[in-house]
Amino acid sequence: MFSGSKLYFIHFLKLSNMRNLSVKCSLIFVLAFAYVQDTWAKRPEFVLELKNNLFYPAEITIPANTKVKLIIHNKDATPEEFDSFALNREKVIFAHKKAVIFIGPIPPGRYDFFGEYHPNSAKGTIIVVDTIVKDANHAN
Amino acid sequence: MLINTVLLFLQDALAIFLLATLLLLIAHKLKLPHTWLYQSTIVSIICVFFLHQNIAVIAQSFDGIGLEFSFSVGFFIVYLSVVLLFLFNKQHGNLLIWYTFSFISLVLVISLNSANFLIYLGGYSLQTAGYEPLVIGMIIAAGICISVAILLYFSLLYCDNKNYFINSRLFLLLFGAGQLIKASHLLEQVDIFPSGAPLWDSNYIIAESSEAGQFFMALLGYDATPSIMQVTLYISAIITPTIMLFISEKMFKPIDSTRKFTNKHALYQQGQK
Repeated sequence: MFSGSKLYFIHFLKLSNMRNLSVKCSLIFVLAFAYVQDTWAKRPEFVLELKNNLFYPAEITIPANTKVKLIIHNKDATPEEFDSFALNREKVIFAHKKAVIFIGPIPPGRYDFFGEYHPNSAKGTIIVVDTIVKDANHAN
Repeated sequence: MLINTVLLFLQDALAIFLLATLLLLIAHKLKLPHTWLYQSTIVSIICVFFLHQNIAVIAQSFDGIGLEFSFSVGFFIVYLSVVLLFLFNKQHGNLLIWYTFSFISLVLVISLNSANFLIYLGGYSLQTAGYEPLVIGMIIAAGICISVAILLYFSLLYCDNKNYFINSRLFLLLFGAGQLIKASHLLEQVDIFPSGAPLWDSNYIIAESSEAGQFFMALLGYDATPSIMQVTLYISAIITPTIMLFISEKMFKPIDSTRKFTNKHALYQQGQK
């Protein structure tokens, strides 16, 4: 029914449609990722360190009703999982790597967290307060 | 270490056992062979191996959100597959659809959950502690998972046979909605999905960290402190497919062959007279 050149043309059209779709999808993904990164930059940052299966500092203070960025550095040779039932957060931190999680907005109170692979030693608390005094653990 | 292994194994393996049980139950009801179960188990082992080899690289990609992003996509596909299985009608549907989506959902659930436990095993192997608590913990947890799966299988089989509203299909949909909530949790954790203050705290009724909490989390996506977005997502994830099922059942009414026959028979008898 179709000559060879026509078939080639239809095949090319299908391919170009597919290419268009993949280009559009990639563009949407890049734009979304740029938007997410821009949002992340606006969040207050707090740093936590894991060494010898212990969290340093064991207590950090964050502002109430604000979303904050928590950066956890794992200095150990084994992976660990940051876990908190109160905060609804769970994140694996690989050996000698860092992990980023976002917390909040949450009301004032004390929220416990622990290392799921070493729950007896790796423990800590996030203290959420209305007014925050800048201290050493606040990276910004 | 023993209790920790039991809890971690339960947390990851319970979802696999529950999905396999629900799919086996529906396959039994539809009188289908179990080839999909063996095939998906073999493919899952290969997927788990590759995922475990590259999990650290995936985790560090996209500025450290690679794991959350890829796992949430996986859980979302599980939900879509489960919805299609929920809507599946043996009279009008192709059995290949059922096989394909059972295969996809089981492979994804096994791969994503096993990869988590393998990270723990990898970390454990670097420690000096003996393997005895690890092996005993895994055996105990596997025993609990098998017991729960058997109890669920026979109680839902009873409900299915008695034609109760609470049946295996509904539980499959609830399981799928739970996977969608897992995906939303992961995206919320990396600030892609909007998060808000918890709507309620039901930890004093069923603590999320308890065995019952883990069971309901794996089966129904239980969350003791959900946000308003998650509650809305969960309800719409259940209601939308249920409405779709009612509409499709109204559109494709089963043919009542006995009534047709009796009508024809009556007409024939009238003609004879």
